Amino acid sequence: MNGTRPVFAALFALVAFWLGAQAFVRGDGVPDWWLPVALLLGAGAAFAVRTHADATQQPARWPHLAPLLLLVTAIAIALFVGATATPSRHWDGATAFDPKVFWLSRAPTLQQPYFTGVGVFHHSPDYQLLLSLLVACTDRLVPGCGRAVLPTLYLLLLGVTWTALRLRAVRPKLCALGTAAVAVTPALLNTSGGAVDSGYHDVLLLTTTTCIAAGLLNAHALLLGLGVFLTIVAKPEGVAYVTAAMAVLFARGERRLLWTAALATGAAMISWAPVRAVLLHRDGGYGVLWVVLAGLAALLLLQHATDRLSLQQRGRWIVVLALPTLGLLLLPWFAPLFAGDDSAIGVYMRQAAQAHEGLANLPAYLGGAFHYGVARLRFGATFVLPVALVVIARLRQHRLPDHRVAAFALLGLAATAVPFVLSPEPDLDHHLRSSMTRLLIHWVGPVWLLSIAWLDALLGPTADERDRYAPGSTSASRSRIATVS
Amino acid sequence: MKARLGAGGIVALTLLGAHLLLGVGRVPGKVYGDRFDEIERYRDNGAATFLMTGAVPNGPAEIDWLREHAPERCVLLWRWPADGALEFAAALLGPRLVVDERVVPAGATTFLDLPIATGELPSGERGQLVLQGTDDGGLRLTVRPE
Repeated sequence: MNGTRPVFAALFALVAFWLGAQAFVRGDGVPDWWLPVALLLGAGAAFAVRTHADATQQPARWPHLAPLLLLVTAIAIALFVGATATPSRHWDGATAFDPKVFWLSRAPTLQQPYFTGVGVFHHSPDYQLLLSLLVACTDRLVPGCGRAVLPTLYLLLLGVTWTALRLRAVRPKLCALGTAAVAVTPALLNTSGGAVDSGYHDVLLLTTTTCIAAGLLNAHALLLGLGVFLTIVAKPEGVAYVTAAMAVLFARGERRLLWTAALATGAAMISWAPVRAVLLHRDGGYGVLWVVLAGLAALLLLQHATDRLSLQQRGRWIVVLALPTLGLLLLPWFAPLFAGDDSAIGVYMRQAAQAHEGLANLPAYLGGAFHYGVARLRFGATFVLPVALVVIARLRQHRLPDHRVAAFALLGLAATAVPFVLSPEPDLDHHLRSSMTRLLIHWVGPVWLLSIAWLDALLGPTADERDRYAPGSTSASRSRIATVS
Repeated sequence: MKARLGAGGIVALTLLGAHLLLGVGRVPGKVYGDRFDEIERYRDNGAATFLMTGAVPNGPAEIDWLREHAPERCVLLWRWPADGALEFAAALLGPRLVVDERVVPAGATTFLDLPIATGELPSGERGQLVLQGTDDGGLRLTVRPE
């Protein structure tokens, strides 16, 4: 029992929905039939494309799955009630998300005064619209149930986690335990901003970063591409996280995956930039699109150049780490381009001119990361277990696999420092209190995928596996046995 | 899981088990109990009181007054600063549009094809209704001459 096809269907459907919706919403509106059609397209694509891996994986049996399904069902019921019983009950959900959903539910088009009227109070106008449109369109089909999309995304997150571990040929019990570990992470289930039913976009972004990590874990270009595309259209931080993934692929010289990620990024930006231009009342205001496309072209050229120079991985990592430093040095020259830009990116870019002052916030940021990520148990053992596994592996002189995911998670977690360096918010404690947990949420999935893959490697092949796979094993099981022997 | 565990494996599995126990243990009280309490408080108090009490200095009374006295199809003017209660106001007053008074010409009675809300405040002031943000993140109602 693999159970991966519905996950691919849902991911394809999300991409299809956005590709159509971003065009419809700029015109007369998203037709009510588009969401069901996108779901059908997603299902069709999942069946048409070869999505699953090695047929010799150990099958997952009901004794592995039943406790997980019971647990997830129990939690999902609470989340469905929590999501649909009232509108958002926390700040950003109530102030930024709900009004967009309110107006899009009445008429799913940007051609209405709330979006086009200059001077209308529109909180976070340049925020990505995927989630708002999904909820609004669902609400138009099934009135009162639009917010059921929020816990459905939580189920998709768990599906992506399960799929990633199954494709990795992790033993089924660990697949179930790893998926359960994501499912019960307190920060996702609390009654606070960022939780599944809060109306914040963090769980959507977590689902997409987990999808990227799943692609990296399995060198699975399709999962990576879907994850990268959706990450860009999920939340503003997505660009930074996708950059982290591409940096890892560049440094490791993984040309096929790098091109996949670059193409997905370009496609996502081309679909998002026109919507963003409307939201910011800028005809033809596609500056961010050109910057990103130029960056992609530069990256691919750089990759070509480093290939020709036969630069080893260490040299590529030096390039990767030098580029952000160069970027920081150049930011004061870029900052004036964003003068008068009241979008979130504009605010941060202008602040970038004083980035060297913001570096003084780093110690407080690190303290906050430990406080909210570890000490307060909002993430349980999420960020403790991988550190413990590294220590255990070193003591055993065991080389841990899955460096792609490890590097992605490390760079991504490092990227969570950026808002605290570049933020114009003068009250750092308040900023840490309101943002730190939400930023860490984005990494719950990737970190658990890494931990479970490492734990699986450390535990070594089971006696059953050694008997079954060692003589004539297929690639996935062979590679796992190889990493632990 | 018939595998070689060793001390390290036991430590790792213990951490994983502790995470799962912590999470499962929170389901009855935190995931269900707190969530259902919160829903009940939201319904009992109404959106404005639930969201704004404790978060911003004031605002629920002003929001409720506007919802009662301003027509649904209208423009309500707002005045800087915008952080704090005004963020909730703009969200809770839909389908009324909340519009920056600086872009609305003096003397205008409509904007974006909608009438600008007018009325008499409890204080007796009369004119176009304006939501004024305050420096401490609060909110007060005032008027602009028609």
